[in-house]
Amino acid sequence: MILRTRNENGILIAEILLKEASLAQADQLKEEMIILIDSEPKNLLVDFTMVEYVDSSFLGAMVSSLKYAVARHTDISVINLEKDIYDLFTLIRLDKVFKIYADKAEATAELNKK
Amino acid sequence: MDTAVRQQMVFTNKQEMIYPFLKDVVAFIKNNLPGKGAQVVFKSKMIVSELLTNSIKHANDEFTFIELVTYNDTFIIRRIDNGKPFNLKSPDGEKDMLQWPLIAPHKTPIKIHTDHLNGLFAHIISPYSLSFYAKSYTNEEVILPDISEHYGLMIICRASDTFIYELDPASLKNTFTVIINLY
Repeated sequence: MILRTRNENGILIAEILLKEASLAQADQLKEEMIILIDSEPKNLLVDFTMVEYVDSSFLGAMVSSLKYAVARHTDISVINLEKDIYDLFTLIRLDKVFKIYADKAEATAELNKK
Repeated sequence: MDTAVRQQMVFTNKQEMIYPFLKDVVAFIKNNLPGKGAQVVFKSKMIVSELLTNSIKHANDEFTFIELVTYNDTFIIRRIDNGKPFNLKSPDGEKDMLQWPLIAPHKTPIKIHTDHLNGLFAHIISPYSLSFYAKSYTNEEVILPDISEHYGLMIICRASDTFIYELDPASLKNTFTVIINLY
């Protein structure tokens, strides 16, 4: 398992339990995300607190998961991106694809406005 | 006179060795490009990470060679291997799109991938070399199903100022050269 999940006030939070999130775990990420999305949460926050390294394959798996989620009316946001990972998201413009929040509190405040 | 500092490193094409390898690259940059800043370190880590990940996916050999070269105004990262020549797959994934040596009718760039956010292209600069480049598109709406799931080449393009692939037809050696301008 690479995701640890909990439900807080109706928001499903999936914490990535990896320091290095890479090609080796990309397929497993997709599999676990599909299971979570099939439980039909309205909002899924993917928490990158533990992640220090991410590569293009893992990001591709995140995009694939987002496509699956949006088609099923689940919104995915990401939180707690370490600086290099945040900069990587913006380098390839994934900040236009994913909602990125600094942390759970900011995400919750924004999601509760809707 | 612009004196180059070179370091040659060997990568064993194992996923778990990428992270330690990146630490050595960062150490080289900090020792030889003092004061060049966090941006050069960030870009270099992204570039080397993707070059090595690509090696794991496509290399025939146990080893890939990485060369780091610093000049006063440029930092060059080179990946050299003996894997299969670079190619692009057709949309159905069945066919190779490039035939070596390359012919460039009308000097048209090769479209590798475009979506609502990014475009990735290559110029044929000689029958055995390509230069990659990226474009950004501004659209009111992002059409999600259209968005790429493949970012390796895009990351290298966006993190660098020049990104070239060369195939040596005699030895079939592949060389990816990535240049970061320091000015």
